[in-house]
Parts: sequence; C-alpha cells; structure tokens
Amino acid sequence: MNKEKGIISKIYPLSKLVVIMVLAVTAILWGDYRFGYFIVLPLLVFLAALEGKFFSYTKKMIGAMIIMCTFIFIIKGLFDPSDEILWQFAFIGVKKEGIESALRLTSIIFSLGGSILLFFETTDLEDFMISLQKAGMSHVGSFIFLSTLQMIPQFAKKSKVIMQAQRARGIETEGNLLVRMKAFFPMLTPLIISSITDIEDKVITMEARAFSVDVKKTYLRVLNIKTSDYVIVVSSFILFVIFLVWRYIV
Amino acid sequence: MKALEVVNVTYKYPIAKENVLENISFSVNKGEFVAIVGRNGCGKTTLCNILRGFIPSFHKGKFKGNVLINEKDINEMSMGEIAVEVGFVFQNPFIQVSGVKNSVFHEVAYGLENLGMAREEIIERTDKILKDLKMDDLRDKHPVELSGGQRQRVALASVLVMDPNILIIDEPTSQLDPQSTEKVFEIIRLLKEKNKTIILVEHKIDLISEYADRVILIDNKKIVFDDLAKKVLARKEVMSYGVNLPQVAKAGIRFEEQTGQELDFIPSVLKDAISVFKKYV
Amino acid sequence: MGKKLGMMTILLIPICIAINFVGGQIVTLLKLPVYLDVIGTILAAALTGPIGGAIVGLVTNLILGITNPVLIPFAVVNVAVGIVAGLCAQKGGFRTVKGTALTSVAIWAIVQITAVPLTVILFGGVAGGGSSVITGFFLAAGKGLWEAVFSQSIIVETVDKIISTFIAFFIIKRIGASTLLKFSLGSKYVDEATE
Repeated sequence: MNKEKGIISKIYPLSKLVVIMVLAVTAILWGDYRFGYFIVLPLLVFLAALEGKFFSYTKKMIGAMIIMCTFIFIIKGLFDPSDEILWQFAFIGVKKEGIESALRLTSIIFSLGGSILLFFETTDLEDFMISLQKAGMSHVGSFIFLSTLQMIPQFAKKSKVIMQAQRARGIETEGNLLVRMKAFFPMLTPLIISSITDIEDKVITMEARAFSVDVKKTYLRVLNIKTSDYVIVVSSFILFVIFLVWRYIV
Repeated sequence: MKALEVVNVTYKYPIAKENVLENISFSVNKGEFVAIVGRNGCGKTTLCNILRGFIPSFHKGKFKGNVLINEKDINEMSMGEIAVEVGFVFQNPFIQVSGVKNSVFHEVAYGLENLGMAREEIIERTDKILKDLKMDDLRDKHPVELSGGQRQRVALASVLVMDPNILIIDEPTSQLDPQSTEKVFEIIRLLKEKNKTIILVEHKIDLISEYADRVILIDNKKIVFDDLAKKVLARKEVMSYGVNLPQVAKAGIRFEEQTGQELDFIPSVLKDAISVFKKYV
Repeated sequence: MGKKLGMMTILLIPICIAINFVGGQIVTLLKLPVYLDVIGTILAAALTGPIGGAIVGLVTNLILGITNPVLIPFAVVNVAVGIVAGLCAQKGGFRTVKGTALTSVAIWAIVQITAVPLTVILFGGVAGGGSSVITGFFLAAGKGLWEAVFSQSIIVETVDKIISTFIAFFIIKRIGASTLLKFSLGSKYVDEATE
C-alpha cells in the first residue's frame, strides 16, 4: 500500500491541481508560444523525469496530442485567410500568420494538456477523490468516479469474451460493412442488459454497506495536508500576481 | 425480547397479478436461529427483503402489515439504524462488492467508512473480523481476483464488520462448491456462538438441521409450518412442499415404513439418530 | 449531485460510462466508420432524465481526459447530448420508433450546435485525427473554416447519432419491466396493460 512516492506524488492533490491551473492560465494569458514551448513544456518534462517517469510521460504526451497538433499546423498553415507567404512549395503556400497562430494554439494545448497529464501521472486517483470529498464533494461523486474506473476494464474484458462466444456461434465479425454493423449489437447488448438487471441487487449491497447513511464519511486511507502543500499554493499565487502585474500593468 | 416481528404482511410486486405472500406473521427472539425453507419461487427472498425493509421502500408494490425490529417499527428507523442493526447477505457473490476498493481489507472496511467511524476503530474492527473469519490470507488481494466462494466470505465479512445483532442471509451457498459452502457455514456457526439472531434461507437441509433452532416452511403464499427444527424436519409431509428432509430423518421414516415398528421419534440430526436406532442394533 | 439522484441512478451512471467507452472500443475492433461512443449517455438520459444523462456525459469525457486531455472540452458536447436526450425522454421520446427518430434528430442537432463552435474556436477547426482530413478537403475546395468544419461534422455525426439513439431504444425494449420500473423514467416504457 505505501510504496515509495516521488516528490510530486507526495504533494496534496488539490495543491497540485492549483499549481497546474495557475500554470495553464498563465500560458493562455501570456499568449506567446515561446512561454509554452520553451518554459512550460521543458518544465513539465523535467518534473516527470524527477518522478522517474520521463519515458511513460513523454510517450503519453505524444500519443495524446501530436496528431491533433500536426493537423492544426497543416490546416492553419495552408488555409489561413491571410496573404503573407512564409514558404512556397510548388503550388502550396504556407502562410506566415497561419503558422504563428498554430504555434500559439499548440503551445497552449501542450501546456494545458501536458499539465493535466502530469497531474494524473503523479496522483493516485483514490487520493484525489478523498481530497475532493474533504473539500466538500459528495461521496456519491467519488463513488461514481472510482466505480467507473473499475467498471471499464471489466466491461471491456467481458465484451471480448462475448465476442469470442458470438464468433463461435457463427456470428460474423469480419466481412463487409453491413456484416460488421450487425455484429455490434449482439456484442454489446447482452452485457448491458445483464449489468442493468444487476443494479437492483447492487442497490441492496450498497445499502447493506451503509452507503446512504447520512453522516460525515471517514477514510481508511491517510491523506494529510502538509505545510509544504500550503507553501506551494501560496507561492504559485504570488508568482501569478507578479505575472499579472508585469503583463497588464507595467 | 423479540428481535424481529412480522405482523400480518401481505405483498404484491408492482407488475405481478397475484400476491407473493399473504397474512404472514411470526416473530424471532433474540439469539434465535431461524431457517426459512420452501420450494423455489415461494417468496423466501421476498420475505428477506421485507424483513430488511427493502420492500416496500425499494421494490414498491402493494404492501400491507408491519415489520418491527427490536420492537420498533421499521418505518420509524433511519437508514443508518437499520444498516447497523440488520446485516444482509444474499446469493450472488459477484454483485456483492462495492466496486470501488482495491483490496479485501479496504472492501471490508467500506461499511465502517460509510458509517463515519474513526480510522483507528475501522482498522481494529476490520483486523479482528478478518482474523475471526480466518480470512487474513485474502487481506491484500483485489476483490476482482477472488473466486465466488472467497467473494461470498468477503461479502459476509463486509457486513459482519458492522457488528449487526440480526443477520438475514439469503441462500449464501447456492452458487458455491461444497468446500466453499463448508467455509460459509463455519462462519454461520461462529455467528451462532456469538448469539446473533439469524434468519437463513437455505436449501442444504442437512446443514439447517444441524444449526437451526427453528424452521419456517412457506408454501403457496402462506406459512405452513413454524416450529422447532427437530419437529418440522421429522415430518414426512415436508417433502410434499418441495423441501428435502435430512438423511437421518428419511432413514427413520423408511425404517418405520419397512419394518412397521414405531421409533421413539423421527430423528433429524445424526446425534439423535444414533440414540434412536441404538436399541434396534 | 447528491442524495436526490437515487441509488438506481447512482449505480446506472458507471455502467453507462463504461458503455460509452466499450462502445467506442468495439467500433475500433470491428473497424466501423462510426463512433457509437454516446450510447451510454443516451441510455442514462432515457432511463433517468437530463441530470443522469449530463453526469454520464461529463464524467465520460473527464475520464477520457486522464489519458487524452484534449477531449476534456468536448465534455460540453457529451453533456448537451445527455440533457437533450433526457428532455426528450421526459416527453416520451423513446417510447415509439417515431419518437426515437425525432429524438435522434434533436440529439444530432445539439451535437452540431455544440461541437462545431468548440472545434473551430478552441482547436482551429481540428477535431481528432481522421475527420480532420475531411475538413482539410473542404478547405482545399475553397470553403471557409466554419463551413468546412460544419460539413465535416454533418458527414461524420449524422449516421452515428441516429444509430446510437436507436440502439438505446432497442436496449430499453429488452430490459425487464420490474427493473425498468425502478428507474425514474422507467414507467414510460412499461405497458399499462401489465400494471
């Protein structure tokens, strides 16, 4: 249960969330792609590396955002309504304003998306839920979230079993579009119907575990806010205010 | 003192044409172990749901009559009071998990978290129940990895950890293999030793005859027999209601039929059978 | 969210979110040219109303966002689908084939209204991978950005949302009456004759 945590994983989830929000809002307000690309992005990768998660983090980053950002460059670069051409390849002209706007947009996507990815890479989801509950969220919200996280892989596993069974019974899962369309329904519906029918008994289970009892819930897991967690939040706010003053007043 | 009392209960499910149960009345004393038997679909599970208050609040339908827990009307009790006082375990071991916990220890502790108990006490109680039920080996396992029998024991532990005085257990072993069944019954035996009030629905009649103080037989919406286990499980008519008799009782009945001799009484447990048959050996 | 949801709804929500996920996965497995990733949202809305549908939509995209944060803003679309489907359901929109057809049009419309501006304003017209090629095609043909994204969206979403709505309709028909009656809108789908 208590495996050794990295520095960032030790930060209280909500404090970490505040820092990440501040970082993201700053990236949006600053509007200069260099902030996102040359400060936020390297910082995120560095923090991930500190956690010993350099490879898994960069892989997730690329997997989640690279295709979208490439398309943004293509669409903005080629089809921007402006006239100024940056490069010309035969009949294709790459627009300068388009590329600039793509740089701005992608830097924000990388900063925001990268921050969120880092948050979840370094945060235990059950701890995150407890911190939200301590901040006033209903235990129902936490239940829905955690229950879903367990349900998805189980559902996926069961649907694969059903798919194999359907194949064995002669239902085609390959072939032309119509054949494959027809295979979809018997693969998903038995699973859905049985899960929904089971809800009745599940309600009884949850009531037997005192789920609906109206008291302040307690937690077996230990999750304490440390002084350093406050320091982190306060200092990121101070930096944010300095940024605002520098950006909009000076 | 009465732990449970059912007064004149009649019930019909929402879309059903007929009542499931009619004019059911009985009471269970503190510390008593009552088994409910009857053929499939005779309303045993319905009765369990009535005793726990899930009928009519959850299942709706037409309900008449009263249920009292510790001589207090169930309608006047809060969700928390009922959950603490009445434990409920049913047949399907795969549904009786919270689905939000990653280890058996946390799963068992979940009910206590929901009751808002202090952390130290949660740990103490969970530790104790796992030890009492000899389940320490499962402690760190993920609930999803468990077999049906293990899950059923975890379900029992998750309810017992709240230390209810009354337990309603609905066919806990119907989906289990013999070995797991034996382990579940070991737990039930332990509960009897702790003097809990137990209502058990079960088909394995030999186990009932061994443990239950009293048997209630339901057929065609009504209570047919409600008497000491020894008496009910020695009656030949019981079999005409789709309920099996213990092996020794059947042996006794056969003996009388075939030899024409009358036994002192028809035995329902092995111990009695030995003394009854002794004089013929 | 809170105590008012009722246990049936609370326990239905995770299942419906899983349906959204697995629906999308099976589509990939079968190599179908549709998404079918809002069936759970529609189903929850049909059984419990707009709030249940909205929660399923929201949490689906939040969980998707754990691995792909770009999808978080599109929660707006998924939530809107849940609300519209739920409002239609309250008016009996899943009781008959005709009602379901009308509901599917409403769902399709709300997807266009929400998804197109999101895609254009937040992501410069880019929505995911493959469909951006279609947008690019319209742009190359000389259309404006809004028009291109809108055309792309009509091509990709229309069939998808109609099929999804009808799958939800057929699933409801196969759920047992006693289970249906425990959902807040369930009585709409149980024949009075059997009452």
